[in-house]
Amino acid sequence: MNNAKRPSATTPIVSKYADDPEMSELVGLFVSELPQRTDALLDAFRTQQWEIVQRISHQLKGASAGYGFPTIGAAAGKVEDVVRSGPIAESGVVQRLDESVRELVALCQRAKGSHSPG
Amino acid sequence: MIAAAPGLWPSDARPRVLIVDDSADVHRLLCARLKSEGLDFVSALSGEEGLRLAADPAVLPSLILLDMDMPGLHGLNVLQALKANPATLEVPVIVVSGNQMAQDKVRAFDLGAVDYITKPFEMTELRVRVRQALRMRQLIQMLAQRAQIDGLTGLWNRSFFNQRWSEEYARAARYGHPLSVAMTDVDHFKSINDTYGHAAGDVVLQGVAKVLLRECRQHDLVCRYGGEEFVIVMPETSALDAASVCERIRAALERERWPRHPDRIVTLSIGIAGSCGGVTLSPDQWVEVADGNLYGAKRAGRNRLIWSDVTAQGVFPSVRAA
Repeated sequence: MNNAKRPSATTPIVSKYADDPEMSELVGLFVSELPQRTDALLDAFRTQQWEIVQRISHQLKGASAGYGFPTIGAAAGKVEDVVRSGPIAESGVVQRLDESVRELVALCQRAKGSHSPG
Repeated sequence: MIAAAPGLWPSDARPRVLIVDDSADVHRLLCARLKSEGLDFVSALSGEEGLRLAADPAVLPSLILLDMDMPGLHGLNVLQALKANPATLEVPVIVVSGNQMAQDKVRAFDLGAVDYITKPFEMTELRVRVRQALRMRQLIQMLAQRAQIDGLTGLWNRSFFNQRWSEEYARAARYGHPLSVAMTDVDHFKSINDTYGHAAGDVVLQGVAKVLLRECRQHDLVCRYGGEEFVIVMPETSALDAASVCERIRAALERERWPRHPDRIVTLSIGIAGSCGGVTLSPDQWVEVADGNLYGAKRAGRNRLIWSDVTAQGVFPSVRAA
């Protein structure tokens, strides 16, 4: 039995670099821009603009870990992989994409640049 | 010690890094994380912009960090174009990509990348790799320049003269600008060697080089042509003005005192060919005119200069020093 404390879906994800003086300001900027990106991602998904879905997820995959959010980077990588995996029109692919986009957006919504309460 | 040839060491006090990536987040991240390396940064958000900036003489990057997967021009196409352009061919490129496929890495290296780093990158590793690429570039530049430096005098050598003379000739021909070249030869050098030995002869050659560097202007190019012969390229300089510079050199060398042989006076004969603009001779013919004037100066008694305007062959012997 695993008694390890698991993070809940609402637990904030604090950047690994929250206490890094070289990075704290940039991390704050990155987090403040995440809502715009998730809105654009959801919008592109709803309107089936797969190229934009792929572009946003690709950029988040490349940058998130550098800002101290490796889980967001990994989730963005999953979205990109699904988009690249084949014709999106296939229902199974759309469903997988829907799930991976939701997971990514949920993680982005929990991102925090510092330890201080919201 | 003779001053090194101008530009021997690259003036890379703060190397400039061009970042080509479509993500502004990556630009900000790299700038913040590499700030401690003492670098300047230039940002391009697309491959097209990256190519333009890399070839811009006002930018001249020391290193390019290049993303692969960008909208528009793909990173591999950017890399290919960078390596096809002589202006950017030598700039080292580190590929920074989210793509971990071995075949992409192989392709990037085949096209001329010096390194390949996968995203998300580990910052300590990135810093070390950037440092390494810049160090390699500096070493390659130093080796390339050393191959063009004369070991005894520290002046540029004949191979460098050949290259620069062609370039200066082409520029003067294209824009109708003035240009002069002076061939010089140390008078009675064989007798110096025979009387005082080859080591003393070397000291004289080093001393002559020092006088040439001291008396020439910033944009003149002083090279050792071989043996006791030196050549000076004087851009934007008419034959008459070149004669004035060379007379200053001739007089300065004549005044020079040699600590181990204070009674010995070393002199130069000089032949000049120059133009106020407009070129009628080939680069080789131009040098031949200067060489002919040099031997004219020798025949006329040495320690003098003869100059010609290659567009209007005139001869004007200098006043012989006392």
